[in-house]
Amino acid sequence: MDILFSIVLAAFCLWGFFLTGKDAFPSALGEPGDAFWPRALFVLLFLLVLVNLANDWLFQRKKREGAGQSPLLWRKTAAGFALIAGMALLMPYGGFAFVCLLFLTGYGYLLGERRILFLGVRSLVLTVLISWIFQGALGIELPLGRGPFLLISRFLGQLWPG
Amino acid sequence: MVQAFISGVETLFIPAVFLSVAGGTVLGVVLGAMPGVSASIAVVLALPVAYAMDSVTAAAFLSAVYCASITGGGITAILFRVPGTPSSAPTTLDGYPMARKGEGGKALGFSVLSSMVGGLAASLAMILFCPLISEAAQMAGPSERFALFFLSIAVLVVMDNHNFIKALMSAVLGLLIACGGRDPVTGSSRLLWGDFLPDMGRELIPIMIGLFAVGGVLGQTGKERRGNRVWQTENGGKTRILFPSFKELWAVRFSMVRASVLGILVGILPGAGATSASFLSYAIEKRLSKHPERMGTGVPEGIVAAEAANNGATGGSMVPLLALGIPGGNAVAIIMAFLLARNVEAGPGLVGEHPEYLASVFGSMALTSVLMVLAAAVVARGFAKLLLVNYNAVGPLIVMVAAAGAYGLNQDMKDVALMIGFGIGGYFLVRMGYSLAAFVLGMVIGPMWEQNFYQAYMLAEGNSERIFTRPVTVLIMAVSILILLYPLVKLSVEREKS
Repeated sequence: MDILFSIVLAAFCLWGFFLTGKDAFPSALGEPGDAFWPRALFVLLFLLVLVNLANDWLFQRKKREGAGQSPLLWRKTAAGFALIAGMALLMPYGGFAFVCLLFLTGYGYLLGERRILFLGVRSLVLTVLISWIFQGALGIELPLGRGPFLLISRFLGQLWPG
Repeated sequence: MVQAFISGVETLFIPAVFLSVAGGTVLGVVLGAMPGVSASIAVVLALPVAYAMDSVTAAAFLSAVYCASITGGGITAILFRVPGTPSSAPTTLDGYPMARKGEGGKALGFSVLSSMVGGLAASLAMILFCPLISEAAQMAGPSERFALFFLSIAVLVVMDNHNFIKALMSAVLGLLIACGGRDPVTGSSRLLWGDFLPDMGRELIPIMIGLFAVGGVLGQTGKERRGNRVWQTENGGKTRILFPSFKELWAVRFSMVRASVLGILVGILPGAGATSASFLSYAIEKRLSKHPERMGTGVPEGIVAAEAANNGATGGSMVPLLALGIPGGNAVAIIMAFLLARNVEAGPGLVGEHPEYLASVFGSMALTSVLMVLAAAVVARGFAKLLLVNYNAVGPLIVMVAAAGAYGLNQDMKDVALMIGFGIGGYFLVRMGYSLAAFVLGMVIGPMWEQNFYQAYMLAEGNSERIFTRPVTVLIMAVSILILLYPLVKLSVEREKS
């Protein structure tokens, strides 16, 4: 994965180098122009990627990725990505409170809590607590959601003092 | 300096500041005590509370959370051999054996008192050095400041001894991310992510939240857990703090002073932070001890060395932030990002033009150092219950608080998307052995570094030779290059030897 990342990074550097030059303001006399700095960084990063790749090939360093993590734990992490990404995608539609309840329950289960009733009650209490802290105490407006979720969020919003 | 000291003391008499610091201290001690919640995550979780404060009070509040979280980590390290924060790991070496011998209360007493001494020494060092360094920095031109930023990257890259090349790549990647957005001089949009991240100062907050909170939780998700662990101490973790006598404290006076000074010095180095300080201090203490064989068996010197150093480093890491605009560690970088979002640029100008920031941070750190002794004494009895909270509740809670905090900044889902994107990206960077600290430093100092380069270039009328031939610039650049070459020289010497 490390080598693949290095290759992607090298391609990104080449692409970024030419892209920046295309869009940038041309440099005037005595000034570097707004492409100079990013281009210098792209060149530096490209050189470092090459050194890193050479380092890996020449000295056959042991890769850190994957080492010490079983496929089961890797699947758990991947499920974690999916839950977090899903939380962000759902939030504008489901509203903060509903998505928070789902996420706390799902992620808690992923991390090993198997007492479903306890998990549900705990998630509900934590959802109410976070919503109260942000919307009630700190006055920070959180996503309300759409359709029926909007009605639920508005109803909950009326419960917060102030 | 005297004026700054008086202002700092005066700041503490402002009720809002006092209450924020007191609240921040309690919050920091509790969050720091939770395993899996580092000082950086504690500061990230405290950010939404800081949104509601003015910038000066928020700086004091966040500094209090940062300092107190380091101390909180030490308490659980002693009682349960579970370092709440990575910087408290050396505390377990002598703290836990003392607790096993039935001297947990005394170990806690040594821990919080040495934390207090380290914290107070660091805040005094801050008030002493910040005005001097910022005055010197103000006299320097853009080319010298450019060289200073280079030096900070060089030091951090070398301190990160996992992989020198990858640490350097992380820093450059951070600098490139910081390029996205507006050009500091022409104001034009640059690179594709320029339209997505139009204002790096503001967008740094969700990025930081993602890197530390989401990335941290994902990192813990992939670790093996063995159900609900039962934390065992002789009395179930309900320990009263027993403060050591004057004679006992006098016996460890040299360790305390040495560790505090070392902590401050290490803290000043960018990226080194409290963890490096406590490990280094413990190692030095062991080397200098008359009875090194006793270190690790439950002696107060070990606790003092680790705790005074990691608290000393918290104040030390504030010095380059306030005086030069270079954060001394991840938690400090988050505080810097918060200030940038409020259009407060840390650096040489800040101490001169807005001395209230230095005063409030100094006052906050000094007060926190004292208050955390009281907070720890009161809360210590409940630590056993605190540790019964399982990570399967804490982890998801961190992500949701982080999401609410990222959204709350601008009421924009784009910030939540940014947070998650950088959280997942940061997780992979760490997994592949890249340096998160170098990446963050690059991102935070990037715009200022470029601006100084631009100014230096303009002043030299495009003659790059004139930029790099100023005496101080040459000196700083030469030192930086020597620092960068050090790992290569060390590697070749080791190869020759083997």
